[in-house]
Amino acid sequence: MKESKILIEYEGFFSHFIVNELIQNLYKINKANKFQTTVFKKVLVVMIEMLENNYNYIESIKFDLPEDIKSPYFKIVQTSKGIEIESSNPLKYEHLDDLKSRINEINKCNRQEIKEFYLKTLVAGMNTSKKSAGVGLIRIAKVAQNKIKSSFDHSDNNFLYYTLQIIVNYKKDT
Amino acid sequence: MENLFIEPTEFSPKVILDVKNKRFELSGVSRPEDVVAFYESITLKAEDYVSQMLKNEDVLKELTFELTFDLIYINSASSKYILQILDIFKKLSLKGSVVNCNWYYEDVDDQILEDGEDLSEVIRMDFNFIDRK
Repeated sequence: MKESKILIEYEGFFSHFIVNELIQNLYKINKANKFQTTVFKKVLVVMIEMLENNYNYIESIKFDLPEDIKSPYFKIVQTSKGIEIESSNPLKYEHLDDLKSRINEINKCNRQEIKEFYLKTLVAGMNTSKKSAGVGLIRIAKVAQNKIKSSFDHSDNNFLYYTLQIIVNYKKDT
Repeated sequence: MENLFIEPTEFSPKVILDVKNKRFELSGVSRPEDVVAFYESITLKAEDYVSQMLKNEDVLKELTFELTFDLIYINSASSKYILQILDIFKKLSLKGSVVNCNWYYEDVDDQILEDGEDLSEVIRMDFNFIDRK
Protein backbone atom coordinates (compact mmCIF):
# COMPACT_ATOMS: atom_id res chain seq x y z
CA MET A 1 0.00 0.00 0.00
CA LYS A 2 1.56 3.27 -1.13
CA GLU A 3 -0.91 5.85 0.03
CA SER A 4 -2.29 6.49 3.48
CA LYS A 5 -6.00 6.12 3.97
CA ILE A 6 -8.05 7.79 6.69
CA LEU A 7 -10.26 5.16 8.32
CA ILE A 8 -11.85 7.26 11.04
CA GLU A 9 -11.84 11.01 11.55
CA TYR A 10 -13.75 13.11 14.06
CA GLU A 11 -13.51 16.75 15.04
CA GLY A 12 -15.42 18.09 18.03
CA PHE A 13 -15.82 17.56 21.74
CA PHE A 14 -16.15 13.93 22.77
CA SER A 15 -18.73 12.29 25.00
CA HIS A 16 -19.09 8.72 26.23
CA PHE A 17 -21.71 8.25 23.49
CA ILE A 18 -19.46 9.60 20.71
CA VAL A 19 -16.58 7.42 21.90
CA ASN A 20 -18.88 4.42 21.62
CA GLU A 21 -20.00 5.42 18.10
CA LEU A 22 -16.35 5.63 17.02
CA ILE A 23 -15.63 2.20 18.52
CA GLN A 24 -18.58 0.74 16.60
CA ASN A 25 -17.18 2.36 13.42
CA LEU A 26 -13.86 0.67 14.01
CA TYR A 27 -15.59 -2.72 14.35
CA LYS A 28 -17.38 -2.11 11.02
CA ILE A 29 -14.14 -1.03 9.32
CA ASN A 30 -12.37 -4.12 10.65
CA LYS A 31 -15.15 -6.33 9.30
CA ALA A 32 -14.71 -4.81 5.84
CA ASN A 33 -10.89 -4.69 5.87
CA LYS A 34 -10.11 -7.82 7.90
CA PHE A 35 -7.08 -6.47 9.73
CA GLN A 36 -4.77 -8.90 11.49
CA THR A 37 -6.50 -9.84 14.76
CA THR A 38 -3.58 -8.72 16.91
CA VAL A 39 -3.39 -5.38 15.10
CA PHE A 40 -7.14 -4.78 15.41
CA LYS A 41 -7.13 -5.58 19.14
CA LYS A 42 -4.17 -3.30 19.77
CA VAL A 43 -5.74 -0.46 17.76
CA LEU A 44 -8.97 -0.87 19.71
CA VAL A 45 -7.22 -0.57 23.09
CA VAL A 46 -5.09 2.39 21.96
CA MET A 47 -8.12 4.11 20.46
CA ILE A 48 -10.25 3.75 23.60
CA GLU A 49 -7.43 4.89 25.89
CA MET A 50 -6.70 7.92 23.70
CA LEU A 51 -10.35 8.93 23.39
CA GLU A 52 -11.01 8.46 27.10
CA ASN A 53 -7.88 10.47 27.97
CA ASN A 54 -9.01 13.22 25.64
CA TYR A 55 -12.59 13.22 26.94
CA ASN A 56 -11.69 12.97 30.64
CA TYR A 57 -9.08 15.72 30.40
CA ILE A 58 -11.48 18.10 28.65
CA GLU A 59 -14.15 17.27 31.27
CA SER A 60 -11.68 18.22 34.02
CA ILE A 61 -10.98 21.66 32.51
CA LYS A 62 -14.30 22.38 30.79
CA PHE A 63 -15.11 25.44 32.92
CA ASP A 64 -11.82 27.09 31.93
CA LEU A 65 -12.17 26.58 28.19
CA PRO A 66 -12.74 29.73 26.12
CA GLU A 67 -15.62 29.53 23.64
CA ASP A 68 -13.41 29.96 20.58
CA ILE A 69 -10.91 27.22 21.53
CA LYS A 70 -9.90 24.78 18.80
CA SER A 71 -11.92 21.57 19.06
CA PRO A 72 -10.50 18.15 19.96
CA TYR A 73 -9.71 15.90 17.04
CA PHE A 74 -9.21 12.19 16.45
CA LYS A 75 -8.20 10.10 13.47
CA ILE A 76 -7.08 6.62 12.51
CA VAL A 77 -5.00 6.28 9.36
CA GLN A 78 -4.00 3.11 7.54
CA THR A 79 -0.44 3.38 6.24
CA SER A 80 2.04 1.00 4.63
CA LYS A 81 3.67 0.36 8.03
CA GLY A 82 0.62 -0.04 10.21
CA ILE A 83 -2.32 1.79 11.71
CA GLU A 84 -1.65 5.28 13.00
CA ILE A 85 -3.84 6.65 15.78
CA GLU A 86 -3.88 10.35 16.56
CA SER A 87 -5.69 12.42 19.13
CA SER A 88 -5.56 16.18 19.77
CA ASN A 89 -7.04 18.45 22.39
CA PRO A 90 -6.51 21.82 24.06
CA LEU A 91 -4.08 21.61 26.99
CA LYS A 92 -3.60 24.09 29.81
CA TYR A 93 -0.08 25.51 29.94
CA GLU A 94 0.14 24.56 33.62
CA HIS A 95 -0.16 20.86 32.69
CA LEU A 96 2.50 20.96 29.97
CA ASP A 97 5.60 20.11 32.03
CA ASP A 98 4.04 17.09 33.76
CA LEU A 99 2.74 15.72 30.48
CA LYS A 100 6.03 16.25 28.63
CA SER A 101 8.01 14.58 31.39
CA ARG A 102 5.57 11.61 31.47
CA ILE A 103 5.91 11.17 27.67
CA ASN A 104 9.73 11.41 27.89
CA GLU A 105 9.78 8.86 30.68
CA ILE A 106 7.64 6.47 28.62
CA ASN A 107 9.68 6.94 25.44
CA LYS A 108 12.94 6.17 27.26
CA CYS A 109 11.68 2.69 28.16
CA ASN A 110 12.28 -0.49 26.19
CA ARG A 111 9.58 -3.16 26.01
CA GLN A 112 10.44 -4.77 29.36
CA GLU A 113 10.88 -1.41 31.10
CA ILE A 114 7.53 -0.15 29.85
CA LYS A 115 5.84 -3.21 31.36
CA GLU A 116 7.60 -2.63 34.69
CA PHE A 117 6.69 1.07 34.59
CA TYR A 118 3.05 0.16 33.88
CA LEU A 119 2.86 -2.36 36.74
CA LYS A 120 4.64 -0.01 39.16
CA THR A 121 2.25 2.84 38.30
CA LEU A 122 -0.76 0.54 38.58
CA VAL A 123 0.27 -0.53 42.09
CA ALA A 124 1.05 3.05 43.13
CA GLY A 125 -2.33 4.24 41.89
CA MET A 126 -4.31 1.37 43.38
CA ASN A 127 -5.27 3.04 46.63
CA THR A 128 -5.13 6.71 45.69
CA SER A 129 -8.23 8.87 45.67
CA LYS A 130 -7.71 9.64 41.99
CA LYS A 131 -10.31 8.36 39.54
CA SER A 132 -7.79 6.19 37.70
CA ALA A 133 -4.33 4.82 38.37
CA GLY A 134 -2.83 7.18 35.76
CA VAL A 135 -1.67 4.39 33.49
CA GLY A 136 -3.51 5.41 30.30
CA LEU A 137 -0.53 6.86 28.43
CA ILE A 138 1.78 4.06 29.54
CA ARG A 139 -0.77 1.49 28.41
CA ILE A 140 -0.95 3.12 24.97
CA ALA A 141 2.83 2.74 24.50
CA LYS A 142 2.86 -0.74 26.06
CA VAL A 143 0.11 -2.07 23.81
CA ALA A 144 1.30 -0.36 20.59
CA GLN A 145 4.93 -1.31 21.32
CA ASN A 146 6.07 1.95 19.78
CA LYS A 147 7.24 5.38 20.83
CA ILE A 148 4.71 8.13 21.40
CA LYS A 149 4.97 11.16 19.12
CA SER A 150 3.67 14.41 20.52
CA SER A 151 3.45 18.06 19.59
CA PHE A 152 2.38 21.14 21.51
CA ASP A 153 1.28 24.15 19.47
CA HIS A 154 0.65 27.52 21.03
CA SER A 155 -3.05 28.37 21.12
CA ASP A 156 -3.36 31.39 23.41
CA ASN A 157 -1.80 32.59 26.68
CA ASN A 158 -3.43 29.82 28.68
CA PHE A 159 -3.74 26.97 26.24
CA LEU A 160 -1.74 24.82 23.85
CA TYR A 161 -3.04 22.40 21.28
CA TYR A 162 -1.65 18.98 22.17
CA THR A 163 -1.39 16.15 19.65
CA LEU A 164 -0.56 12.57 20.55
CA GLN A 165 0.25 10.02 17.88
CA ILE A 166 1.31 6.39 17.86
CA ILE A 167 1.48 3.61 15.30
CA VAL A 168 0.50 -0.03 15.66
CA ASN A 169 2.70 -1.90 13.18
CA TYR A 170 1.49 -4.84 11.17
CA LYS A 171 2.73 -8.24 12.30
CA LYS A 172 5.58 -9.34 10.02
CA ASP A 173 4.98 -13.08 10.14
CA THR A 174 1.47 -13.15 8.66
CA MET B 1 -25.60 -11.04 54.08
CA GLU B 2 -27.35 -10.36 50.78
CA ASN B 3 -26.05 -11.21 47.33
CA LEU B 4 -24.97 -8.53 44.89
CA PHE B 5 -26.18 -8.58 41.31
CA ILE B 6 -25.62 -5.84 38.76
CA GLU B 7 -27.00 -6.23 35.23
CA PRO B 8 -24.50 -5.67 32.44
CA THR B 9 -24.79 -2.76 30.02
CA GLU B 10 -22.99 -1.92 26.79
CA PHE B 11 -20.29 -0.19 28.86
CA SER B 12 -20.29 -1.93 32.22
CA PRO B 13 -19.90 -5.56 33.30
CA LYS B 14 -22.25 -8.00 34.97
CA VAL B 15 -21.37 -8.30 38.65
CA ILE B 16 -22.32 -11.17 40.94
CA LEU B 17 -21.39 -11.75 44.55
CA ASP B 18 -23.08 -15.01 45.41
CA VAL B 19 -22.75 -15.41 49.16
CA LYS B 20 -24.28 -18.89 49.40
CA ASN B 21 -22.17 -20.36 46.60
CA LYS B 22 -19.09 -18.39 47.64
CA ARG B 23 -18.35 -16.85 44.30
CA PHE B 24 -17.73 -13.48 42.71
CA GLU B 25 -18.04 -12.82 38.99
CA LEU B 26 -17.25 -9.87 36.76
CA SER B 27 -18.08 -10.36 33.08
CA GLY B 28 -18.51 -8.30 29.93
CA VAL B 29 -17.13 -4.89 29.00
CA SER B 30 -15.66 -2.64 31.65
CA ARG B 31 -15.45 1.00 30.67
CA PRO B 32 -18.27 2.57 32.68
CA GLU B 33 -18.92 6.26 32.17
CA ASP B 34 -18.46 6.94 35.88
CA VAL B 35 -15.93 4.33 36.93
CA VAL B 36 -15.78 5.54 40.55
CA ALA B 37 -19.53 5.38 41.09
CA PHE B 38 -19.74 1.98 39.41
CA TYR B 39 -16.95 0.25 41.31
CA GLU B 40 -17.32 1.89 44.73
CA SER B 41 -20.44 -0.05 45.68
CA ILE B 42 -18.81 -3.28 44.51
CA THR B 43 -15.60 -2.82 46.50
CA LEU B 44 -17.63 -1.84 49.58
CA LYS B 45 -19.78 -4.97 49.31
CA ALA B 46 -16.71 -7.16 48.77
CA GLU B 47 -14.98 -5.54 51.77
CA ASP B 48 -18.06 -6.14 53.87
CA TYR B 49 -18.24 -9.81 52.86
CA VAL B 50 -14.54 -10.46 53.47
CA SER B 51 -14.61 -8.66 56.83
CA GLN B 52 -17.45 -10.91 57.98
CA MET B 53 -15.64 -14.03 56.81
CA LEU B 54 -12.42 -12.99 58.52
CA LYS B 55 -14.21 -12.95 61.89
CA ASN B 56 -14.56 -16.74 61.89
CA GLU B 57 -11.23 -18.57 61.66
CA ASP B 58 -12.80 -22.05 61.61
CA VAL B 59 -14.94 -21.15 58.59
CA LEU B 60 -11.95 -19.60 56.84
CA LYS B 61 -9.97 -22.84 56.93
CA GLU B 62 -12.80 -24.71 55.17
CA LEU B 63 -13.65 -21.95 52.70
CA THR B 64 -13.08 -22.25 48.96
CA PHE B 65 -13.98 -19.05 47.14
CA GLU B 66 -14.27 -18.72 43.36
CA LEU B 67 -13.39 -15.54 41.50
CA THR B 68 -14.41 -15.40 37.84
CA PHE B 69 -13.31 -12.68 35.44
CA ASP B 70 -14.84 -13.21 32.01
CA LEU B 71 -14.13 -9.83 30.47
CA ILE B 72 -14.10 -8.66 26.87
CA TYR B 73 -12.52 -5.28 27.46
CA ILE B 74 -11.12 -3.37 30.44
CA ASN B 75 -10.13 0.28 30.25
CA SER B 76 -7.19 1.43 32.33
CA ALA B 77 -9.46 3.20 34.83
CA SER B 78 -11.24 -0.11 35.54
CA SER B 79 -7.92 -1.93 36.09
CA LYS B 80 -7.39 0.06 39.27
CA TYR B 81 -10.69 -1.17 40.73
CA ILE B 82 -10.27 -4.76 39.56
CA LEU B 83 -6.95 -4.72 41.36
CA GLN B 84 -8.69 -3.45 44.49
CA ILE B 85 -11.27 -6.26 44.25
CA LEU B 86 -8.51 -8.85 43.91
CA ASP B 87 -6.71 -7.34 46.88
CA ILE B 88 -9.86 -7.60 49.01
CA PHE B 89 -10.46 -11.30 48.23
CA LYS B 90 -6.76 -12.09 48.57
CA LYS B 91 -7.17 -11.42 52.31
CA LEU B 92 -9.13 -14.70 52.50
CA SER B 93 -6.25 -16.72 51.05
CA LEU B 94 -3.81 -15.04 53.43
CA LYS B 95 -5.91 -16.42 56.29
CA GLY B 96 -5.97 -19.99 55.01
CA SER B 97 -8.91 -20.11 52.58
CA VAL B 98 -8.59 -21.35 49.03
CA VAL B 99 -9.26 -18.56 46.53
CA ASN B 100 -9.42 -19.72 42.91
CA CYS B 101 -9.20 -16.98 40.32
CA ASN B 102 -10.44 -17.96 36.86
CA TRP B 103 -9.50 -15.47 34.16
CA TYR B 104 -11.11 -16.06 30.74
CA TYR B 105 -9.67 -14.92 27.42
CA GLU B 106 -10.55 -15.44 23.77
CA ASP B 107 -7.22 -16.18 22.12
CA VAL B 108 -3.51 -15.67 22.70
CA ASP B 109 -3.64 -12.35 20.82
CA ASP B 110 -6.22 -11.12 23.27
CA GLN B 111 -5.27 -8.00 25.25
CA ILE B 112 -7.47 -9.34 28.02
CA LEU B 113 -5.01 -12.22 28.50
CA GLU B 114 -2.16 -9.72 28.86
CA ASP B 115 -4.28 -7.65 31.28
CA GLY B 116 -4.88 -10.76 33.38
CA GLU B 117 -1.19 -11.67 33.40
CA ASP B 118 -0.34 -8.11 34.49
CA LEU B 119 -2.89 -8.12 37.29
CA SER B 120 -1.80 -11.57 38.46
CA GLU B 121 1.80 -10.37 38.63
CA VAL B 122 0.94 -7.16 40.47
CA ILE B 123 -1.33 -8.81 43.04
CA ARG B 124 1.00 -11.83 43.40
CA MET B 125 -1.78 -14.33 42.97
CA ASP B 126 -1.91 -17.29 40.58
CA PHE B 127 -4.73 -17.09 38.04
CA ASN B 128 -6.21 -20.00 36.08
CA PHE B 129 -6.15 -18.67 32.53
CA ILE B 130 -8.96 -20.29 30.57
CA ASP B 131 -9.45 -20.14 26.79
CA ARG B 132 -13.11 -19.25 26.23
CA LYS B 133 -13.30 -21.29 22.99
